[in-house]
Amino acid sequence: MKTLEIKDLHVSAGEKEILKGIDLSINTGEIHAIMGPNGNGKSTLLQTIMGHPAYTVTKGSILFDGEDVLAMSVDERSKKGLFLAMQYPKEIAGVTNSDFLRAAINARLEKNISLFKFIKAMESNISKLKMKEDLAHRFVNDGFSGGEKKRNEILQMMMLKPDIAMLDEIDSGLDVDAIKLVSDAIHELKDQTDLGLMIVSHYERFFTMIKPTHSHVIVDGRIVVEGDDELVYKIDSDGYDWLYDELKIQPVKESRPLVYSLGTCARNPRGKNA
Amino acid sequence: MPSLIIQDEKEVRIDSSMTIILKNKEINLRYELKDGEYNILIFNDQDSDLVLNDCGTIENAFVKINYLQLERYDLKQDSKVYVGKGSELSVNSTYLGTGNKQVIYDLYNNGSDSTIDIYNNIVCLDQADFSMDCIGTIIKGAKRSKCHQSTHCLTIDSPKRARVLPVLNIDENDVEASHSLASGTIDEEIMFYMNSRGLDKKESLNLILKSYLMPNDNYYDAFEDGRMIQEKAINKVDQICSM
Repeated sequence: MKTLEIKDLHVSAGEKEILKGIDLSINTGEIHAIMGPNGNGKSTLLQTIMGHPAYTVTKGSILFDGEDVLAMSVDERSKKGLFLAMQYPKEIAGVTNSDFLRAAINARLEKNISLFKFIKAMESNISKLKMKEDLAHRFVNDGFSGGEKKRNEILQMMMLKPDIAMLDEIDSGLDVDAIKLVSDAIHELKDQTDLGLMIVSHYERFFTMIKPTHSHVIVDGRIVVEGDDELVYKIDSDGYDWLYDELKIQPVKESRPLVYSLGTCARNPRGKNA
Repeated sequence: MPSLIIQDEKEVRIDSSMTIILKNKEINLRYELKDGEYNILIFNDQDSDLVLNDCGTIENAFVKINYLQLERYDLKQDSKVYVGKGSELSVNSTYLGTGNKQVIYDLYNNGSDSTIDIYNNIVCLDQADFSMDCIGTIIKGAKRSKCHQSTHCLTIDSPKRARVLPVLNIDENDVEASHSLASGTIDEEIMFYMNSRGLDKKESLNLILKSYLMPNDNYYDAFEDGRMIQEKAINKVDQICSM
């Protein structure tokens, strides 16, 4: 069993502190649901664990299997067994899925995977996720629909077989059938490898299929309540207001960029400003 | 399609489709391409600086010239081609910018109904000094001619200079001409995405450069020794990325 242990984690993006002391411990084999209103730190937590350069850890520690994750580069974290399925997967035009995944698998092996073994594994996983057969030869996420991108994240997870996978709103953009496929694939991998999961989602439907063993709610950069899957169902039916009232807390309101009118410089035919 | 390895010759005349493998430090290529379709691949394959002068005429012909320059050494290239009446020239150039590279394309629509298309793919690595002048000239009398240029330039880390100057000299009405230039660096989010799958910076760069610089697999099939050149080109990118 391996453990991802987060202690008193404080994280800033620029001048703004987003995470204000997160304590969380996840063992392989466990499924943790991470919930909370938008803009309160869920994605920041996952991205920080993976090492996104936009976030600075100002205090606290992250250990994985006893090793200091914060001292590792992003690729080292991946090779150690951490995986982040992103909310907005990037498109890499010109790089095919097969070249990308084969390079990623080889990067963590001492001896390169044989082409035959790779193709067999890739085809099997593509079939399980009911993705298009030509996926291996298409460029990474390039021209993919939202749902295809999310399934491609799960495909990568199945090929790379991490110890702890963090799924950031992987169910958004998926239709009901696709959510079922993804959930089945996750369970299959979990049965094979004792995968541990941290899952950010807003929807009870996905959690019902995934069956979390633990749940946590993040508000204003702190975990304010923890429980099991019952907490997920309560939030789905009652929302977060009861939590704000009970704990006397306020969520961070998602900030949107201000829109200013610059007026108009259009001119009417007589040459005067409109 | 024959392969020509240039090792000692300084002057070489080209009048048919061929793969030209450059192994000499200073080379003058002369095109005389008439009445037909031609496909030419010029591959720089030497471990030293290169001065390449190529010039010539295209008459009543459809010509593709592909330049593949992935060497890390200095390069001075001066290419001048006159495209005659009803002829077409498509230039497809690929440069891995390291060291000092100065490239001049001086291409002329020299007769009516002539067409010139230029596609440049350039990667400028750290400390590179790359300069390209891409000049298309439609002469007086070359009615209904077309001259289009498109350049993509990717900069990695901090090149000393990455300069591309597209120029169009148009001395005739009733023509089509355009140029476009896109330059940028690798998106930090893409690098994070690749790193998060276990690829370090060099491995990520390797994949990106190959996708950017290397034409698709089928491209090489058209040439004698195409697969050998593809393998060499891959090795050259590997070498650069491992430095």
